Amino acid sequence: MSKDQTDSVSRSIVISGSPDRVFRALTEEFGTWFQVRLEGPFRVGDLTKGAMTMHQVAGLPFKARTVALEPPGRFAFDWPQWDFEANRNLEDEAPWTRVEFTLEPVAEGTRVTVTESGFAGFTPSLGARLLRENTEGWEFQLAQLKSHVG
Amino acid sequence: MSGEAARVFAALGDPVRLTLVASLGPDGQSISDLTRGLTITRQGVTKHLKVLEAGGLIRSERRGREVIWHCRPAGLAVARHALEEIGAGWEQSLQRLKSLVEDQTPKEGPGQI
Repeated sequence: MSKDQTDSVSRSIVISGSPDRVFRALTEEFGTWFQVRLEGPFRVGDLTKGAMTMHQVAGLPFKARTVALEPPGRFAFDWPQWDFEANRNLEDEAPWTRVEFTLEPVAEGTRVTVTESGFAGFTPSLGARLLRENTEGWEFQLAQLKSHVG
Repeated sequence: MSGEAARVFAALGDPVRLTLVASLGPDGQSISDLTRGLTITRQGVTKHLKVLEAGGLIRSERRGREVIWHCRPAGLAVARHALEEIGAGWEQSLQRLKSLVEDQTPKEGPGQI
């Protein structure tokens, strides 16, 4: 077993279209395919915020810091993990993971590869805290539910 | 990501611990076995083993006077499962990007932002 096996995840797809066209869709039309309403465009070094429109997670905050915007080959950003059990953003207590897209021309069009890495950066103290906070998070949610129903 | 997955990643997020997990064979190993070949002390190894145990990646068993450590494949499965889920999410997103590019004619469609 290597660190890579637990540190990153990678997927790719071939899209019929030039790298230029795919890069534009990837970045300028990010909101459409990622299903998020962004407050502004991606700019290197800047934080781009938004709200998810994807139905399962509609309304959840989206946040990403652009690391690279190099048309037509590379787009990368760092973003915080979302703890779905506690329904909260882990931006302050967990390392942000990096999402990197690389585009390469192939015979059929463009191959897009996305790699998300940095999962092995989670520290033991974070693990313990997450566990505790998850419990508190659920207590809060249940209390909310109770006041909502009652 | 679930709190459980975060704990597993936390436990694995260290080169010594990765080495320890990787060196646990099917029959288990004692602290002495595990410390051999490493530059850290028995106490150091014990500390790392406790973190791995808390992360659900290994379990201990007393055999006579010795404690034998075993791998718990279920722990690793949690990490793999979490990454699989994240990968599946990216697959769906990439598929939507593909549809956006391939279905879009030059005129404005509902896919525009």
